Amino acid sequence: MQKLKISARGGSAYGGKNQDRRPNLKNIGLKHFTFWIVILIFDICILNLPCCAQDITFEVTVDRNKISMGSSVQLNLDFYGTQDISAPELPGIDGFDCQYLGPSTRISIINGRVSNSITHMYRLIPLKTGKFTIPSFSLQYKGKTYTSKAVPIEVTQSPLGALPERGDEASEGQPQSLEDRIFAVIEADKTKAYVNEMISLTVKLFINELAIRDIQYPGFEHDGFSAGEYQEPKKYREIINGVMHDVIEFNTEVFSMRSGELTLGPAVIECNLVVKKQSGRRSFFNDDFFNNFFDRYDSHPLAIETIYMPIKILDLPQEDVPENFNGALGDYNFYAGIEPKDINVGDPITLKMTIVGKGNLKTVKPPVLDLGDDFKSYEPEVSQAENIKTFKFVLIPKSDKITEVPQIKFSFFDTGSGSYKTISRGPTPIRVNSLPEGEELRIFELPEEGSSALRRREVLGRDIIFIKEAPGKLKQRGTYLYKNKLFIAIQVLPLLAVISILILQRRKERLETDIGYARRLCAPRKARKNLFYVHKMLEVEEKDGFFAASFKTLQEYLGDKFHLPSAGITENVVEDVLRPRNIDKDILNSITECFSSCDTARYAPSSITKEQMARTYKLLEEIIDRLERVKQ
Amino acid sequence: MRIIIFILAVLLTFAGQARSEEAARAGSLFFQGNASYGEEDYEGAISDYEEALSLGFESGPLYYNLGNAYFKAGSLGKAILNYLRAGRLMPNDTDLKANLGYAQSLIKGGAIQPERKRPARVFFKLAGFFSLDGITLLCAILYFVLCGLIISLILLENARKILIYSSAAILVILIFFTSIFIAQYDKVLVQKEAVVIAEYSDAKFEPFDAVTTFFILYEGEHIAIITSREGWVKVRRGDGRQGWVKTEDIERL
Repeated sequence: MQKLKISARGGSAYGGKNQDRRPNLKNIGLKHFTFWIVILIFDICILNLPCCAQDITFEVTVDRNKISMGSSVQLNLDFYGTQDISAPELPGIDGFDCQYLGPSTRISIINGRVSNSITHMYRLIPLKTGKFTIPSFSLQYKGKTYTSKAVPIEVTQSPLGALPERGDEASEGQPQSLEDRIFAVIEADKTKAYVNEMISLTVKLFINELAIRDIQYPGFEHDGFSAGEYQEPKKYREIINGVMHDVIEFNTEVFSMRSGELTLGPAVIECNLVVKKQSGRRSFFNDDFFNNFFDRYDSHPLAIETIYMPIKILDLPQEDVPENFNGALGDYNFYAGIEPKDINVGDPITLKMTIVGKGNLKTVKPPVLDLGDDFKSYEPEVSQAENIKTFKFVLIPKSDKITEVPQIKFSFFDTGSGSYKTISRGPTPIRVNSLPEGEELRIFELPEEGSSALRRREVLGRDIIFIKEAPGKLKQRGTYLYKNKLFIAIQVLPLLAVISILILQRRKERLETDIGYARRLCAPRKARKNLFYVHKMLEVEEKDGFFAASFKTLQEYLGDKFHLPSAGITENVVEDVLRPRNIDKDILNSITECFSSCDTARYAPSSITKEQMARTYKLLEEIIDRLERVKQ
Repeated sequence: MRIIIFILAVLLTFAGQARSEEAARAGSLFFQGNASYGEEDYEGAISDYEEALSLGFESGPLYYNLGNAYFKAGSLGKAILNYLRAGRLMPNDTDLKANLGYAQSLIKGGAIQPERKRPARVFFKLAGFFSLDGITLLCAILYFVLCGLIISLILLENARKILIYSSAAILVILIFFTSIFIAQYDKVLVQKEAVVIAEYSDAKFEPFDAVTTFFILYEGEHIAIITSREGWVKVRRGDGRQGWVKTEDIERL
């Protein structure tokens, strides 16, 4: 054991070797100033919190206890219950060079209770290979001596196996094997038990400085045992060989179902190990912050297996078995109570029996009641909580001669002493009054198990159902409705209907909104009607009427066709309106000629012959016919 | 021209008459088969029902009775095959479902049901309610309703919103049932399904005798056909395993 020299820091936040790290307010910016103000307020708050003198504990831990030459191990001196201890000067440790890294302080407030600690961290660099021991340290603080445990460390020549790097660690060599840094153990509270005796089983997962997630409940072999559900896992930290481990503890209970040399386990815990993806590429910013930010992680499934655990299961002794023993194992107490105690014949009494204690309560059956014919009893109402099981019987006294409820006995096998025990309660005196005159005793009888038709489980036979009497609709093979031509033809009809109605609706809408289109559409029909009239005039040789009608027909037709005001259409229209529309020159000439004939007839009607009238009619017909063929 | 029409009419009449005579014959064979079945002459019943089928006619009860006869005669594979064929024509027949379920429960090692995700399970369960003709008719009705709604949408301006929503809803339903139709079409007409009729059949990694057996198919197992090659058929079992079996060991639905 080596003694460490320490000095009290006198309440200063920074002292000893760290004096130079005190912030200089003159040199810091506004942000730093604000930060320190917050820290100061926090400190004041902490100091004002009710806090009693704490016990100081001292521990020495290392981050791992197997390393290789060229790497280092971190030694932590943890002081719990104070932060008022400066860094001790370590004596020389055989095989290692020692460097002080700095302190780390922690304050936690749980339910108003403040606990604080300080850790002084050192780096130990191995100087040679071999097995070494960091000796136990003792130190004096405020008159008391605190001693740590010795910590073994093994230094090897080469790395002991490549271990995936933890997510946020640098890629420093990790000499410990994976099995040393994550492992599981299985423990039982006893290695010898009786059949049906409760055995507390614990599976612990130890993790040292690894990023583990998705931890599953352990599965384990339990042939010959009945296993219960796991309780909520516990988490805590534990030091093994001086190395701090995170521990996840799973607890459950098992009961053996047969005697013999049985085994529990191996238990297997499945989880995922998170490791940083190895990539030689640096991020764009080439900065540690951004590199960490853009880092990717891989998840590797792990199955951590424990060893198996032998358990010897004994049969219950066959000697001195109490008469009313029905399988209860453990360490119990037994209580019985009756309410009410003053009743009439036929009124119900509640007999409450409570069994309290440790053991396999699932196997505890209600004590057998020997009530004779004086009482009618019903099936009990059973309730169970942690370490307590209650049976409530309803008893009906049949006679007013009853004076007591007989003694009740509960027997169990005490697994601690390995013997049978019987606890008796009662007899309990009661007063049963006779029924008022004229009333009859009525006791409701529950149907016995198996007697009810509803409860009876009928065993049904199974076979195929008989053939069909009628052949149904015999149809030719391969004839399907979708192949039927009439069916296919019918499918076209609604489509045609939709298309037709769509076209008609569009046309109707256009006729209502587009006047030019409506006039153009009506133009030939109207022209035919007018031509019929013109032809009549020709037949009767009514010159004035013929040319007037011809002129009007041409005017109206051209007006409708080209959406122009009909009254103003004359020969000039040909030049002004029709020629720019690229209408055939012959048609334009015919129109001009037709208008000229009409004008000539108007001013010199005597010179007009029937042939000229016929020619004008023909010209008019041709104009309309040819213009109808012209695409607009 | 008249002569040709006359000849065609006469031929069609004769053809129709011949067809109806064959149908009557098939019906009579059905009853004959029933009589044989009643006398526990299952081989005779099988012969009569098969002859009715060979005339080119089919019906759900005919396949069902044939399945029963095969079951009684001890041919589990053929029984299941004919129950499945009957299921395509009368998919909602409870007797058929009961018999098929019972027959499949007797398959050695148990019937392996296809492993499907929930949406696919729902889809195929729904598809199982319809025969090919039934789903065809339903799709046609939905199509007519959709066209009627579109016509109303064109003509009636006042109820445009409700008609648009109704049309969209009917369209979605129509697409869904059309997909069921396609699934049924694929199942019924493309003949992608089969049943093992041999007592057992080695499903091999390759279509040769002297290669390793991957798994064994037992009589009555319902399988999907992937491809075929010179006396071998590549099949897929319900659990997704695929292997080559001999053509004579299976029969297509």
